[in-house]
Amino acid sequence: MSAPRWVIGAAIFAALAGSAVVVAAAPDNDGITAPFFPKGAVGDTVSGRNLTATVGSVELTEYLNIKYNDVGDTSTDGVWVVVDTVLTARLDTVILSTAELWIDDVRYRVSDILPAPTSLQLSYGAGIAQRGSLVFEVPRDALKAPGATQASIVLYNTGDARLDSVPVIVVDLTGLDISARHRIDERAVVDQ
Amino acid sequence: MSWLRRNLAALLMIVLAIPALAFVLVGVPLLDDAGRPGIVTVKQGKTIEASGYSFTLTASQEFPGTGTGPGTNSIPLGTSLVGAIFDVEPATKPIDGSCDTELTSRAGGVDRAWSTVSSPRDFDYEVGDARSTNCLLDGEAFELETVFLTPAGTYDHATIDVTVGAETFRFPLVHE
Repeated sequence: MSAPRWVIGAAIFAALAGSAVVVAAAPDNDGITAPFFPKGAVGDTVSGRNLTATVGSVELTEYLNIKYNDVGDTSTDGVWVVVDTVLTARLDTVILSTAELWIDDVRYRVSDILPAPTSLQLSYGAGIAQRGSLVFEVPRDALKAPGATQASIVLYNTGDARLDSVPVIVVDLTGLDISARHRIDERAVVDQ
Repeated sequence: MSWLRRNLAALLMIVLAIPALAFVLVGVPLLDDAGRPGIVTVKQGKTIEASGYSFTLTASQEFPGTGTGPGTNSIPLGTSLVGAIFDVEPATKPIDGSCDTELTSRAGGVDRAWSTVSSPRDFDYEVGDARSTNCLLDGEAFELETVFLTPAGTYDHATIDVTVGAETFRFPLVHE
């Protein structure tokens, strides 16, 4: 005795519908290998696989007053976002030259304007905390974007972040005063 | 026609495909690893030879930090400076080149690494007059002094990896 035809038809339809749901819900290639983004706010300590980050403050300025290597003032047509950080590599040396500031869908790469040694290079190795500044150059209009209240400092610390964990600090860039100058000191190892 | 004759082609495919798949998944990565040069562990006080030079770790020491500022050794609290001295001498058919050094540790089951400090003077560390912090292999004998900044306590379980060409040699630090 075999099952009625309508039962077989319903089973096939259910299987096809189920398959369609699975295909629709499956992540794409980028989604499968996307990085993990542990998040925190200013003052929080956020850790990824090879980086622990604490952002002490975020400030806006028109000029960077760089107090080492005889650089002096550095201007911009937009505004400098200065992020004061304490960063610690967890396993090995780290380079943060691919770090980004996300405002809505726009991504601003961290500036390389500061002369070496900077906080972009955690060059000593594992477990050595360094205090210093990361700077991002953004247009003034970006500060009025809806996403500026929930901007993200994404601390990429490797060229290939697939399936890696990348610390993210969420900051509110609205309502901050834009100073005329902001002093930038050389990075320094902090007491552990 | 028996069941076996009807399914012979399928069975043959299975017999061929499964070992082939196993080879691709397991054998190929193993062969890749086998072709990669490993790290050679050097016994305390022993000399190794690479690229026509001999390398001997003659001394190493930890300098615990007492903080920065007046009356300190300018090494941050909770950190230590680690210095190491290698005798490098031309041996048989030396080849010009360079070598890299890295401090490594596997304490607690975690691989960690430290790069050489480019400016030891920042931490009031004076490199010996006749020594070099750069490992340039140019046919002459020299003393290589490498300096690392590490968290305090790293020294006890650390090693120095010296890479010459494609070979890496792991030297245990000197413990009195």
